[in-house]
This record gives sequence, structure tokens and C-alpha cells, in this order.
Amino acid sequence: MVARLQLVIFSLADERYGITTAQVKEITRMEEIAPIPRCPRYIEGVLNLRGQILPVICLRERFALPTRTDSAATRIIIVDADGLKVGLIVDAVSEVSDIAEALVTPAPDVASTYFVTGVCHHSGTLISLLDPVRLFSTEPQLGVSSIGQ
Amino acid sequence: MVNNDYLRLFLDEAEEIVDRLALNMVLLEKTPSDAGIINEVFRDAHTIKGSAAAMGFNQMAGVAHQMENVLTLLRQGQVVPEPRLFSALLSGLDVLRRIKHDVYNTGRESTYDLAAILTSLAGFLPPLTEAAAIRATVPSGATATHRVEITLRTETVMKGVRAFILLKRMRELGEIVRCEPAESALTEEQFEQSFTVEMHTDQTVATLSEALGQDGDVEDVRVTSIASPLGKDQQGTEKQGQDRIDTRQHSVRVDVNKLEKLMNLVGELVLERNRLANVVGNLERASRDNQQMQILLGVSGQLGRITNELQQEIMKARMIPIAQLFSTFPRLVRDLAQNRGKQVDLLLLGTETELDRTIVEEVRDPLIHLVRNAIDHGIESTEERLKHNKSPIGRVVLTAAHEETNVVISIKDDGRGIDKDAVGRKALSLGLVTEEELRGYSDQQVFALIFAPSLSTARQVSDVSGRGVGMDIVRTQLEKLGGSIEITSELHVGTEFVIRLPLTLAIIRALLVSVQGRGFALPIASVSETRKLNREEVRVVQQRDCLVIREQIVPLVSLASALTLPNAEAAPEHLVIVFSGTSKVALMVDRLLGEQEIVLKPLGPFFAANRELAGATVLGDGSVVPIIDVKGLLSLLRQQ
Repeated sequence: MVARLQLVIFSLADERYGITTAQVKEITRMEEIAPIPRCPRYIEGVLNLRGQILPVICLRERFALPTRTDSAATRIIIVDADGLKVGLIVDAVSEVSDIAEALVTPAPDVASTYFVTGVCHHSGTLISLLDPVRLFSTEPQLGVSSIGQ
Repeated sequence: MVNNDYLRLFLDEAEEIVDRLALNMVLLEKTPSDAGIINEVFRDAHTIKGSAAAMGFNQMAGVAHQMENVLTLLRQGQVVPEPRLFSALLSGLDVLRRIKHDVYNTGRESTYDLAAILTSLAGFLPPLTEAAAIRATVPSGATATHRVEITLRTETVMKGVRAFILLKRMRELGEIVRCEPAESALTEEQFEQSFTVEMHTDQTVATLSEALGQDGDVEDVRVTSIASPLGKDQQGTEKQGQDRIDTRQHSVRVDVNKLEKLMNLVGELVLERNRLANVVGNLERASRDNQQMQILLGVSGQLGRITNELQQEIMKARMIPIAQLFSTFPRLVRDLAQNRGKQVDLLLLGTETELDRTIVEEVRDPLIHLVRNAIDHGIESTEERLKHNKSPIGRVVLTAAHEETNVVISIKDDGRGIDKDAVGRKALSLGLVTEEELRGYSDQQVFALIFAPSLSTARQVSDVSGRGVGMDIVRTQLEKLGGSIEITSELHVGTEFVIRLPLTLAIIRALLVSVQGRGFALPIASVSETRKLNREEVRVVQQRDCLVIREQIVPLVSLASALTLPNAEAAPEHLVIVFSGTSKVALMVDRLLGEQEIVLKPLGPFFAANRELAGATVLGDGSVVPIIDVKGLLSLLRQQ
């Protein structure tokens, strides 16, 4: 048996990313998000998920990508980051795939890939594996300057 | 064998008993002949001795044992009920409390120097050997064999431990001959609700029933004398020997976290109920004649009613009587009065008043502070009281009562009262008020000055004002709970502090406002008034817009700019004046959306830096609205 990794694969701008299914709680359509004042720009606000109030992050803002326009494909991926439930807004969720762990190579060690724990090729595209916990840490060595401002 | 569950049960029980003992000992000192209290105190000392020993906390058991010995003599009228005796017993109680505290923190006893307390307690025992003194607890008589049938409550959580503790207790009273089911089965919880024990003992049927029936988990005890070789209990046939003990109040201990979870679920249920009512309302307007619609309307109404009731019941489960808090005061007042050489009577009223467990814990310190102050600064010395034709014994009355959705606690003394003029002079000299302002002040307003930080921390003021330091902290803490405090006082007659607290922290009343299309909730407890802004009344003080409201200069800020929301074109015209402590601010908002009960939900660590937000709530239409924390907002404004 080859060790396999089950990933939720989604797109953001023109790139593909993956998060392990173990860290994904659920995926919902875009819903109304209440903005919270005095927050970093990438924090979109809070979401009412069946009575629970969860913070929601816009991944495009987090990665300093061009501003998003919501479409029918826009999704919120609810992840569990060290026990904290957080919603991530992505352009679209494409599939859930099994990938052999052996195919994952460590991310190139450059600052701009701070959120990325590894990369792999799948169906001809490059997928960056995200670590949700890192998305909320305020490590300073980010490759993009506008984050959190 | 000692795992955390047993330990927690033991600690819960010990806590309850130690608190009750403290209360009863002080009562007993006043009425030493009250057999009811003596018996209760004795039973409690006995129980704590037994369960401490069962858990292997031998030092704790030892002290409790010695206290029990002294109490036995007191019960039999063989010692003089003098203050010295009670001081020794209370010191013993302090030791029990300290050990309990260590056990709570570390799970075990540490090593204590118990010589002093044991000697001081032993001083009251007759000059016999200790063994003989112990015998005194056991009325000597002939040994007989008794059959003890014990039935535990169905809701008993840890039957095995209970059985173990009960068996342990029986061993203290005699010798166990036979168990059915076997003892090992009992302690491993392999039995239904009942078990039977045969024992040799010189105790009477009544003593056995009483000693075993006092356990809160015991539903029923039947003691039957089956053989009395020396003929002492000759007529003790099955029927006559039966002795039923009244069952105690029905209670189950529930983990606070479980209650918390239930509370959250009900909170969610309430929100969904509101959403349903909303949708039903909309549908009804659209299709009034549809029969199915009428049914849906009925269902929604019923669901609403059930949800309300469920919510109330669960809220009640979080409630505890304030007696749990009040019970610490007799001891505190006794010690403090003795220490200050004053005579003080304490009266506790409305002790059955219930309020949220969290609030009870949070209000403890402010209350202690106020009661200490009442005795330190309020109540005069005996000579001074006589000089003013007052009873030599001062009086402090603690009252709790429900008033609508609030709990009102009053701390009233018949002491020297607060010197209004002295407070005013001091406030003037500190520059807290101008002479003109002071002239316009009501008595209430002048007294309220003692809550100002600079005044209440000025040491020398406590003597003139008749109140001690730290009043600002008292008020801050109460406001943090969404409460308030008021003072009334008359010179040489007395002072009364009235505290108002919400019944619970999870559900609050809030004023909903909107700013640039966004909703915000302001806790009603922090809102002093709402009205329209009149542009002409705006003054500029130090380049900032201000209003003068009842001679107080209040900064005028738009909520949007306070929260650094993008600027709007039209100036908002509604005012909400909010306060925290003595600071006020007038907030401009676009619209007032009305008052509503809301469920407060924390925003979580993500928004820890947003001190201006207390949390968020979900409204009937499913939208999320942030709740403003006025104190945080004010400190944010000070920085801007």
C-alpha cells in the first residue's frame, strides 16, 4: 500500500491549492458575511454557520492576489486549524483527490511560499499544499508586503 | 483507586460541608443550645472526617476527627461554649480548608504542622487519654448484630465510591460481618441500587440510621436488629427496629461545562426559532388564506413557546442560591468585628435568591470589600454608638432580591454614615469637580464621587468619608458584569449600597443601531440615554466636538469614525449616550433599531485585539451583529 493523501483541491486566481480533507470541516456556498471593524484586510468578517459565529478569511487578500469577484462558483471552505474553525473564501472548489504522498515534494524555500508546506503534480497541474494554521499566524517573513495592513 | 472523578466528588462535597460548617459554627456561638445546629455541625464534621479518610487524606481526617471530639462534648453539654472554643473550632476549619485547597490544586495533601491546632482542640477534651476521648463518641453499650439495608438514589453517579464510603463509615461504627453482594462487587459497582450489610455494633438503631442516612446519595436506610446477645435490644424485632430516614433534597451534581454546552445549544435553538418566526411571518403576509400556512403558524408558535421554556429551565440550572455566597459572611463579620473590638450583628435576608453561577463568583470580591468597609469605617465603636444614643451593637444587613430581570443586593449598615461635605471638599481639593458643579450635585452624585479613582485611592479620605479605598475597583468590577451600584447615606444613621446585577451573562438586553448600513448592538446596561442631535448644542473643547449634558462635558463622536469605518456623506443625527464608570461619550449613529434580548457569543481569539467588541449575536433574520464593549470603546477613543 502506498500512503495516500486525500486533498480538497481549489482554485485561486489561476493557481491550484490543496488542503487535506482531515482539516476540512465542510464546504459551503458564499454566504452573507458580517464585516468586523478594525481588522486586517484579509479578514472578511464573521459568518453565521447554523448559530456558530466563525471568522472568515479571504485567501486572495491573504496572498495579495487581485481582488476577488464573487461568482456562483465561489465557496467557503470551513477548516479546522488547531481546534479553531475558520472559513476560507476561494474562487472555486474543483475536486477531492487521492494523491500518493511520495509525489509531494517540499515547497521551495522562498519567503513567498510561507503558507505552502509542499507541492505536487496532479492531472497536469501544480498543486500547492496549504497548512491552514499558518494562514493565521502573523509570521513576519511574508513575501508580500501588504498583508495585514 | 482514586481517580479524578472520585476526587472531584470528594472536593465538591468537602467544599459544601466546610462552607456550611463555617456558617453554622458562627450561628452556634450565638445560640450554643440550639440542638438542631449542633447536630448538623456534628454530622458535617463526622462526614468530612469519614470521606477524607476514605480518600486517604489522613491529616485532614485527623483534624476533622479532633473537631468532632470537641463537638461531641459540646453536644453533651460537657464543655463551656465560650468564644475560645469556637475560635479553636474555626481555626480547625481553616486548616481543613487549606488542606482542601492543596488537594484541589495538587491532588494530594502536603505535610502540615498540625501540632498547634490539635493541641488547642485537645485542650477542651477532658484530661483522659485520646483513646478514651474517642470512646466518648461511641456510647458504650452492649454489642448487637444489625442488618443494614441501604438503597442508593437512582441518579447516584458513582455507586461504587458511595458504597465504599458507606462501608468505611460503618466500619467506624462497628464491625462488618457480612455484605450482600460481596464487598468487592459493591465497590466495583456490580449491584443495582441496594445492598445489605450485617454488622456488630454497640450503636443504637437510630444512630446507625442517622449516620448512614445523612449521605446525600442514600435514598433509604433500614436498620434492623437481628440479634442482641446481651438483651439490650430485646424488643428490637424487625418491625420495631425499622427506622426510615427522610430523603434529602433531590439534586444531581452537573459539570458546569456540560451546562455551558446545553446553554449554547439552547442559544442556537433560540436563534433558529427567531428565524423560523421571521420566515413564517413573511409567508403569512404572502398567503394569508392557505390552510397549511395556518398550521405552520401554529407549529412555529408552539416551537417558540417550548424553546422559551427550555431556555428558562436551563438558565435555572445555571442558577445557584446566593446563600452560597452569603454563607461566608457570618464568619468574616465575626472575625473582623472581634479584631476591631466592635460589636456587630449580621442579618442575611433573601438568601434563597438565585443567580447565575458565574455572577456569584464574580461578585464575591466586591461584596466582601463593601462588607469589610461597613465594619471598618461604617460601624462606630461601642462608646461612640452609646454617645449617639444608638444600640451598642452595630448592625449590617445583607439583602438579596429579584427585581424584574435583575438581582438586587443591598449592603446596609447603621453606622456613622458618609460625610457628604467631607467628600465634596476632598473632591474639590483634588480638582475632580468645580465648586459650581458641586453646588448643582444631588446627594447621590456627591456620594458617587467616592467611586472616582483618585478619591477612592486617597488613604486619608477613608477616615473622613467613612469608606475605604478601592471603591473604584468595586464599581469597575460590577460594571464588568453589566451591573451598577448606588449609594444612599445619612450622617449618624447609616449607609446603604445597592447593587443591581443581571440574572445571567449569556443573554443581555441590547440597543440595536445602524451605522452606514451595518448593525451594531450596544448593551443597555451601558446606555444612559438616546435622543436626536441638535447641531447648535455642539461645543468645541480642545479641538474636539463635545456636548454639555447635565453640566458634564461629554465628547461627541460618530460611531463610524470610532470604529474607523469609511466616512459617509450624511452626518448621523441620532445620539446614544453610553458610559463606563464616570466617563461618558455621545455616539452618533444613523438609526436606532430598537431594544432586544440577544445571546452573546464570543468572537474568539481571532478578534482578541478588538477590545471595543464584546462579541457578536445572530438576529432573527440570521444576520450577525457585533456587540460593542463600551469600556473597550472608550479606551480606544482615548488613544485616538
